[in-house]
Amino acid sequence: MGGALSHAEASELLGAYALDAVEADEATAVAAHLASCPACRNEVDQLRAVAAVLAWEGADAPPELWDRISAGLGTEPPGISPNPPRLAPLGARVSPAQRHRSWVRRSLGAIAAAAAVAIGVLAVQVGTLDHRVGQLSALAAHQGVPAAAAQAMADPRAERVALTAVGAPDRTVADLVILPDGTAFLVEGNLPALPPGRTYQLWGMEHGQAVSLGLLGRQPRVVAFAVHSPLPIRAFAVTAEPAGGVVVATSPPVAEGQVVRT
Amino acid sequence: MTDPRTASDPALVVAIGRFSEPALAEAYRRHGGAVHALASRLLGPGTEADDVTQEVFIDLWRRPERYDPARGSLRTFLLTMAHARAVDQLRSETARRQREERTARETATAGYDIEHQAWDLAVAEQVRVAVAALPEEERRAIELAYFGGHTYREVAAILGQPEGTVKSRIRAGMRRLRAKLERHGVEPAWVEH
Ligand SMILES: [Zn+2]
Repeated sequence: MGGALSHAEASELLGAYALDAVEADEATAVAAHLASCPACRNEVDQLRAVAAVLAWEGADAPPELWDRISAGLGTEPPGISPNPPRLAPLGARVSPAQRHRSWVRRSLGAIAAAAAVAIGVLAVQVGTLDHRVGQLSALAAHQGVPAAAAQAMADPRAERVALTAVGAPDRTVADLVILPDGTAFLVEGNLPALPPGRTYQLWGMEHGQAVSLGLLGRQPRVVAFAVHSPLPIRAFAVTAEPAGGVVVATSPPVAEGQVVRT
Repeated sequence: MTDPRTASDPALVVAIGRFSEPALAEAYRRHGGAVHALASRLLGPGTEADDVTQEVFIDLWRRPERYDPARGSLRTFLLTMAHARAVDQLRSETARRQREERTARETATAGYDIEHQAWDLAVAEQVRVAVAALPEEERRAIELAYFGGHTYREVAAILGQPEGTVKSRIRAGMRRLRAKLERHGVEPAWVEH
């Protein structure tokens, strides 16, 4: 099959496509059409939901299979390089780049506790570091989010987004720090505490739709989340929702922000 | 997230994005049975279906951001992944040969569907009624495509009908099912916890 499918040609294939019952070349052509046709995308989503209902089975998840899955996760969280760079031994001759790296490392504790001003200065000063992404993810998983967030803030490749209160655009209530691999943090959160049973929820605007990026808790200070990489999201919003989060925001945003290209 | 057992599916996925293994375990507890059952229905019970199930959940662990709550329930997402993988497996040549060798053995152990209790009898009944009400040609085409893992061209050859006819019957039947299930209050949204 050559060339792009028209909407009419694509829609004829949607039923079979939703059931994985098209040839590989047709699947490619339909997928290309879906990328630019919300109506067809919507129909495929609905037909897949119907297929899922047909597949409905009451069987319990086999417990022994969970052991295999759990073992298959490995000891490292996703996206970690298996060979993180080693630190130069104490007293050894270090290259400027390595020295730089250890300087950042030493600063971490201080940064985590430091004021916004100091962090802002660091973000400008620190040069590119090797293998940072894997370390960051590992830090987030093993050493706690604040340390990883502090390191992310010091990463010159990070994009920063200021979230400002809706209705008071000069009041910053939190910053987002987003790394090229999609690892991201909300830092310096200063939103008013919500009552028990409520949570802040972070949203990204993607292809005109609000996509949930994660729950922030009742009083977020530093929270890790993840976004698609490269970042298709240019605008973010925060809403207050019932604890557990919602699929579709139920209230207007309390804070919002946009990626600003520098 | 405090307790995975009380978290919504989207909240579970968020927690999985933060490397929470208890959240993945809970997602598996909720949906692993359906995923495994669908894979087994396509591939037969055994290691192939186990592999597909394992891959689906490890993929959710590695790339949780691929699940977009705006596009449907987590269960639909997982079943869609499982179906695509099972069909890939079915269409690979070596697998096809192995399966043919096995078919004779396993025909005797059919009854797979019977031994599994419906997850929700009311829902299962609605689905059964909706499927039974489909025109016969549409029902057969959908079953051969979805549970047989055949392309619509293969279905056309099996049924001795024109490809274009089968293609439109599949879509018409699926849309009919959707309308019917919605009328009875069975909607994708109800899948959410
Ligand atoms: Zn279209």
